[in-house]
Amino acid sequence: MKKDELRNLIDAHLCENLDAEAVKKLSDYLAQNAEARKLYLEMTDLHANLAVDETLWVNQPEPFDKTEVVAFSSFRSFIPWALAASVVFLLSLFLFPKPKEVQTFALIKDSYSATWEGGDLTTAVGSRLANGTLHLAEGLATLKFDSGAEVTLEAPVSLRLIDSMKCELTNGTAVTYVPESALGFRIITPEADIVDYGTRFSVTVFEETGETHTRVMEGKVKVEYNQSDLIVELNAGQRHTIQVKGMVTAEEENHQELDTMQDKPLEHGADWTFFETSKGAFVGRIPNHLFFTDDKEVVNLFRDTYVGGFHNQNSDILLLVKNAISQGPMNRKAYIEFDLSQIDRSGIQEADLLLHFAPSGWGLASHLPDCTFKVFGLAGEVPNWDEANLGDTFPGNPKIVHLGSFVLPKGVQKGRFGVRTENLTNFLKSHPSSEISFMVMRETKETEEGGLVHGFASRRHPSLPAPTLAIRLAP
Amino acid sequence: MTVEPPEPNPRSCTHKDFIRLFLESEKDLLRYVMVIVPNVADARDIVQETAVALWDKIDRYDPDKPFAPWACRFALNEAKMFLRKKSRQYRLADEVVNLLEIERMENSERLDARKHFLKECLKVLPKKNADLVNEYYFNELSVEELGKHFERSVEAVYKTLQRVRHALHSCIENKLQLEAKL
Repeated sequence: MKKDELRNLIDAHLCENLDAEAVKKLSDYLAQNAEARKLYLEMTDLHANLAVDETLWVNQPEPFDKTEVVAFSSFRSFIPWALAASVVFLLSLFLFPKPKEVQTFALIKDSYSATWEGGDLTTAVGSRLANGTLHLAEGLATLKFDSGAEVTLEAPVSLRLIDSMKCELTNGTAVTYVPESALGFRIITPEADIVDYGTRFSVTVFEETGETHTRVMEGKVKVEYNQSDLIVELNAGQRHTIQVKGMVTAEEENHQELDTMQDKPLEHGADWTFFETSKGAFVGRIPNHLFFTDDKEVVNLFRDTYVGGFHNQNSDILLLVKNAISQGPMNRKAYIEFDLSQIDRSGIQEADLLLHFAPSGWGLASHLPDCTFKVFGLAGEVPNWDEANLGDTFPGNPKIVHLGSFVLPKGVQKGRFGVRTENLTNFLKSHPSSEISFMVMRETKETEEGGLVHGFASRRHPSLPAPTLAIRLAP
Repeated sequence: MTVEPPEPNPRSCTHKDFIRLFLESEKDLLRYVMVIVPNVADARDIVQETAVALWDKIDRYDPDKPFAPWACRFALNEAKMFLRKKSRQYRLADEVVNLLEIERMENSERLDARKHFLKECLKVLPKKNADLVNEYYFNELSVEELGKHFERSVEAVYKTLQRVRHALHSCIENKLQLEAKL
């Protein structure tokens, strides 16, 4: 970038005249160029001095005729008043008794791509927190209470902190880990109190409908209803939904149940056969990805104990898909394979590939528009690929055949999506082998770096259904 | 050998001291804040919030050390909190803000030296431009108000302000170079 262009960009930034694209251009350039930052500091300081240091203006030309435009009356005449106002403001700090020392009982342990909105508490990592409300608009943040309980907030979420053993979730998702020291830790929701007995669980409150979903990954929790004396005990692997009209009691993990409110019921009758994937992996694993540090608590973000075993290899419960601005291994594509040796493929009349998306916790949804995903069938010479060792590229050089596309609207990270096309049916019928591989990629690129990584459940996902091929065979 | 128990931490600063210290540092705090929040009205709000935070933590201030650098850290924290409320698309990336914050601290003497020459450079501005800049910065008139008064388009006012800032920047550079040769 030429110096003039840089100066103009900085200048427009000082006047808040830059659009998002230009801000990004300036930001990227400043990030990599020390000389540019030097110029930026000089120009901002010049601007700041002109704006705040009235001593610079002594002996300057008189302002134009005050009678000309009343609104143009000189700010200089306000200086004594401004100074007086400053002093009065400062004195007001002392005239009123200093409030009692605020009792803090938690801190912000970590945050990832977090954007906070409103709220009445400080939000920097390491900040001590007292009674008050936090609104996380984007990203993730982990709070550590003095009792030992840890609550990870997944945006968008609103949480009111009450004391070291209590908080109130009014909207969004909180994933909680409670060690022995915090047994009895309570999350209050509009419909029930979730009381923890040493465990890891998630609670999601849907503000619009009032639904409360509780899901236990480890240990035990009790759900105490507000409107009745009902107490429901949940163990590991169980989930529980409270609907505003009526209650749904605890049930075992149901693999047909979808972890989203947006799913339509499955439209497959008794004449359909379902096949789960026999293999599933993705290319583009990145060692030491943002969320994978040596801090084991970070693993908790994935709400899955399997993840620890895949340290430095990204999630294995989700098959990740991403199309970044930059080239590189972060551009992930997922591969899945089905074994259809049990059926006569020539009798396939219709097929439906079903993928269950879930938040990966990586990247920002705001950096993506509506996203189109494409499903390809692998044809030609498809090697016998190993799901445990799929590296940055898929082995061999198979042909890819486009079978269909689907769209995840902006901001949607979970739900059931897939393709149900004639191309898919024909591909399954004509494929020379009964072991059939597919590749899923996101056609839509992120608009800014750090965009969302999409993910759909692999066959190893503890609660969501594996990629599924629903097939209707001729009677 | 006996070890004296540590002195209890006395209140480091009286109300009067605090007001004096804060007012002395206020402009510097604004200059620091405006590195990452260039809008002066926003910066004034941030510095006012900083005053509250500073008074709240005044017990931690060591009066043997300079007040401004201690206060600046609070001001920058407040500024970052302010930024987080702003759409991500319209602000510099967090890592850039962090770099600028560090380099602003490292360059404070150099920037103070530049400020010294700014006053001289303002004196040699053509009257018309000096009037415009004076009304914009000192009397805090908006670009629209200036356009109306000077009978120029808003765009033209922006352009003139931009040219004046560039001219002042170049003037300071020249004076620094001249001084270096002496």
